[in-house]
Amino acid sequence: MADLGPGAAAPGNPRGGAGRGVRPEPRHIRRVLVIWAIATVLGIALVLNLHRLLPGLLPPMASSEAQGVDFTLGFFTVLAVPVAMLVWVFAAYSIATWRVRRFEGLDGPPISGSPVLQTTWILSSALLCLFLVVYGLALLTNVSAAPPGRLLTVDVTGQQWQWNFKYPSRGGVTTTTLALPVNRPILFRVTSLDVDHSFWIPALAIKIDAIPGEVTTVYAMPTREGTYTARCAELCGLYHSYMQSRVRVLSAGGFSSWIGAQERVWGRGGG
Amino acid sequence: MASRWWSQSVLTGVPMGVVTALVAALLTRAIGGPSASDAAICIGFVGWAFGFLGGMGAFRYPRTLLLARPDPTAEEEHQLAVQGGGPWRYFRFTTDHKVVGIQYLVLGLVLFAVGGLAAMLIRLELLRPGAAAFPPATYNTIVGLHGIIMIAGTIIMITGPFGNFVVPIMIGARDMAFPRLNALSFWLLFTAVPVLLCAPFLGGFPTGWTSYAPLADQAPPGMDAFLVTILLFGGSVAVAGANIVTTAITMRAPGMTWTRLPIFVWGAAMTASTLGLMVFPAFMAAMVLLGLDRTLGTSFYVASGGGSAWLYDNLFWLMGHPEVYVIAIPAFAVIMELLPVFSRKPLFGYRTAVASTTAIVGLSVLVWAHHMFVTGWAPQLNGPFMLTTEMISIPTGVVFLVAVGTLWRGRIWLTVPMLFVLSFLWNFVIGGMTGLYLADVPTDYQLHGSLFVTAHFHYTLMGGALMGFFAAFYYWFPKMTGRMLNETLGRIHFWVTQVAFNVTFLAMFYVGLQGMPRRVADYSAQFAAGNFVASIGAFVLGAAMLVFAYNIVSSWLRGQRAPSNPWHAKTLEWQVPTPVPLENFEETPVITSWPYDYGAPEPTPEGAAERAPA
Amino acid sequence: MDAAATAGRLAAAGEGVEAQHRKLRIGTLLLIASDVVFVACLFFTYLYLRALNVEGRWLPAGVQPPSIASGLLLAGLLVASAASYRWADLGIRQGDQRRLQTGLGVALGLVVVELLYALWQLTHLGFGPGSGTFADSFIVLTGYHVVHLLLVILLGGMVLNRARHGRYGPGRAIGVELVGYVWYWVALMAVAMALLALV
Repeated sequence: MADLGPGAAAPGNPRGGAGRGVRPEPRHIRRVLVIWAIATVLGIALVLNLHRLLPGLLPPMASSEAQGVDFTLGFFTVLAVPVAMLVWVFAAYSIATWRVRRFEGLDGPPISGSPVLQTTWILSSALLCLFLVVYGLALLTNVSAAPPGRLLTVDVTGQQWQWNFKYPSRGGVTTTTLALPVNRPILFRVTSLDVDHSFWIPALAIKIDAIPGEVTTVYAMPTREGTYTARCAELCGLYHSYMQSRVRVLSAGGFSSWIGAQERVWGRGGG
Repeated sequence: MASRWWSQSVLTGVPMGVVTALVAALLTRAIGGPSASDAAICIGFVGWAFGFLGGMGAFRYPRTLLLARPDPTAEEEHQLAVQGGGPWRYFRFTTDHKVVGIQYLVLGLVLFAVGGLAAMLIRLELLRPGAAAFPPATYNTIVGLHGIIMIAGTIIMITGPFGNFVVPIMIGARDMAFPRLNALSFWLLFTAVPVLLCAPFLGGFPTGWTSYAPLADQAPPGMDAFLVTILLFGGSVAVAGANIVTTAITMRAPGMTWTRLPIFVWGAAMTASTLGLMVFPAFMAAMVLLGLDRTLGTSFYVASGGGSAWLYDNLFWLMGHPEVYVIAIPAFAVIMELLPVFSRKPLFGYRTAVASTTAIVGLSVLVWAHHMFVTGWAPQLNGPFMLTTEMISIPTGVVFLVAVGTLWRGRIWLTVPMLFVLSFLWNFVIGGMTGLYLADVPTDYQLHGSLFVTAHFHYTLMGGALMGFFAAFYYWFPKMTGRMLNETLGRIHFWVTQVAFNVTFLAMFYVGLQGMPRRVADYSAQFAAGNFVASIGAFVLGAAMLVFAYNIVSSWLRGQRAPSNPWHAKTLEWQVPTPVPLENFEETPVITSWPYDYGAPEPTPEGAAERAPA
Repeated sequence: MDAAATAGRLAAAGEGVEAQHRKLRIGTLLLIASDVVFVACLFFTYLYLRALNVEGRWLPAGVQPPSIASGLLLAGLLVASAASYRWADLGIRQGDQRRLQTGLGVALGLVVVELLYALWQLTHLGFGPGSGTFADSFIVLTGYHVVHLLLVILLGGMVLNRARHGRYGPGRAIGVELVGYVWYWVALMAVAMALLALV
């Protein structure tokens, strides 16, 4: 932008008359659109490679929900780049081109609006919004429905400041660490014994509040084995920072043997 | 006739407030027994407010009315507006809108200093993993104090100082519609400050500024201080809002038609103040119910008694989201007011801008449940609330068109206020765009409650709205104080702030995306790098504010004398002398054109106003 | 700036009596609007908890809601009081001082009766705060209504006192009109509360 120094294309004396002041100068528009296009391409390239520049930018994608969320995060960012660049490039171009060093008593051209431009701006932002809403609704419907397969229910209870996990289909086994079988849909039924908590497993991209006296639900479909963290995401008092549990996503066989062992311990404990 | 120098001042207000508070608290304790300690604290604080206002002389006029005494004479009104003159009038019940504006400005800056200090302490705790700096209860209280002080501070930061000082002059009025209510609104706000600062000494409060019940039900007595603070603050917002809206509707000079009204008056007075007045009672209602839960044993938010945390969430966010626009719209208005001045061009799309601002106000009361996507309340409503939330980005986006359209082909004069206007354009785009992910329900499931949200709203409220405040501050400071701010220090303040702000909160986006929850004191090693950067950025930001503070103090005391119109602007406040005389105008101005006729074929050199006999 | 100039300030700020009245009217209505939102939130609370608590959780054993008749009585007293107030207000606009004082006296008397009845009711409910969500919601609504009544008595007393000192007359009765807005709003809330008993 060095060739567009201050005053490089300053309009004539605006006091010379309104007619000269509003005369279109397509050179500026063309230049700024080219810069905008280049900046957009560079911006999108940056966004698409951000996770390479910043290791661990997103939690490991360990569920089908997380895949949808990660894709959407990237997709929305790509959509946002041209819009943001539109504002920034036009503003930066204006400053670089028409900046004055000090006040000289001169005014710019008396342009007080452009009905066509204003209408276009509002309509195109409305269209963009409409698209985002439709996209969001589709994704929401997808996330809200139970994933296909044999559902495993886990009852999650939050209390200050720990999580308890109960497997009602396995004789009410209750643990303080969560184990889940891979590639099997899970239904979490979440509640709280005292105050609001929020049950969050970043790697699975699921979160639902634990509300006293209510049962809230969320589905997840873990797709990758590994050890992750479940945490409380709603400020719940003194030791909120430490309200977290280990989450292990195990192979089907691994899960069976783990839950079997738990059942034996639980049975002996007289539960 | 003239009252004594110490009457109607903090010298009478504070002792009376303290005595009333003690009497009220002890009486409650005596009647209710030891189980009434929460009630005693609440009633004591309310007593403080009444006693203080009584000592300030706020009830003199109501008493005159009640006892059917003669109405105040012109001389008495004059005395109330001047209050002896000199700096001492800033500590008295003074009705001159310019005094009230300065009072709001100073109190706002003090609030920012305290809230900013709390922010530094938070970042100190988060500098490294391990929560080494504070015990957990202290840390939670610091988080809550930072939140509520900054929210309250940003609500008043533009409408308080500039709405009071500038708006009446801008519309050609001699004062606000209700000068006594104006003084009352400030001193009512003032009563809330010591109440809130008592909270840490009453065990603090663990809830953050959102004060979610039922955690707030079981919190220590610091919570009582918090809830009374909200009631006092809400009362002040209602009184101030009613006053400024009435002023803008009824006090406009002849010829100041709705389409000639400066955009700042539209934003700060007409729309934002109406919204504040209409939504803050929801927070007050939520706090009254919380107070009853805590003192009388009701169970509005207690599940075992039939209550619900979702009830609190709804009441809170009914206020909570519109309140964001109560903060943001005055900042938009400042941006749009300053752009024409420093681009030397008419405001681009004035009517669209006014319509958009009004549309934001209308839509803002329909979006509250987007804060509740993950609460599990009414999942069938997630779709509709996603729709309304996306819709509000349409009128908000118009601000950018107005900004870019005004800049384009202007003669752009990069003064310090203009720099802050431009930083708004950078920061608020990021703040707005990151809102997309939070409006979209499935991505919100992941990001809600994380530091991503914290970074997002700091980009809108700090990078956006607070930059609007800085712009307004540098712009109107010469008119309000008669002194110019030091420009070099202003530029240092700007550049350090802008860079450090972005470093801090981009790092916070990073750790938020990684999965770090907000409002924690400790975190695992994977978040260490981002937090370290964010903390260093925040400390540099704090240093920038020290430069700002030094600039304010030194310029106010010894700065260069300000000419009456240093920016060559055309709105009315720049056409009156500096310092502004008590009556603002010698004769009522008659308005013949709008204030943005820059580059008009035959511009009037003096500006928009042509004096004519009233 | 001397006192004489301030006289000019007062005159100019108002730009005439009608502008003064318009200013006061708008300001009062805005403050009432703020209070309406507050009350609406209390009603929202009542209805929300009503919908949430089914199968006897709304009215636990031993909690007997006051009869619908008592709600109607409370509403009726205030509607009559507001009507009497309105009658007084219209009277003074034609310069009828006697009608102003009579109407005000009746209106104020009815509000005092209402206050005493509401206080009696609150202390003889047979339940208290903590007896379930109906009890809590009912008590907070009635309690706030009592606060309203105290405000109305204060304002009404002020208007009556000023009326006795001859402070009102045709074109000088804006104070009567403004207090009237508060009065009608409080009466409206009493009617809404009576209807709530049907939910």
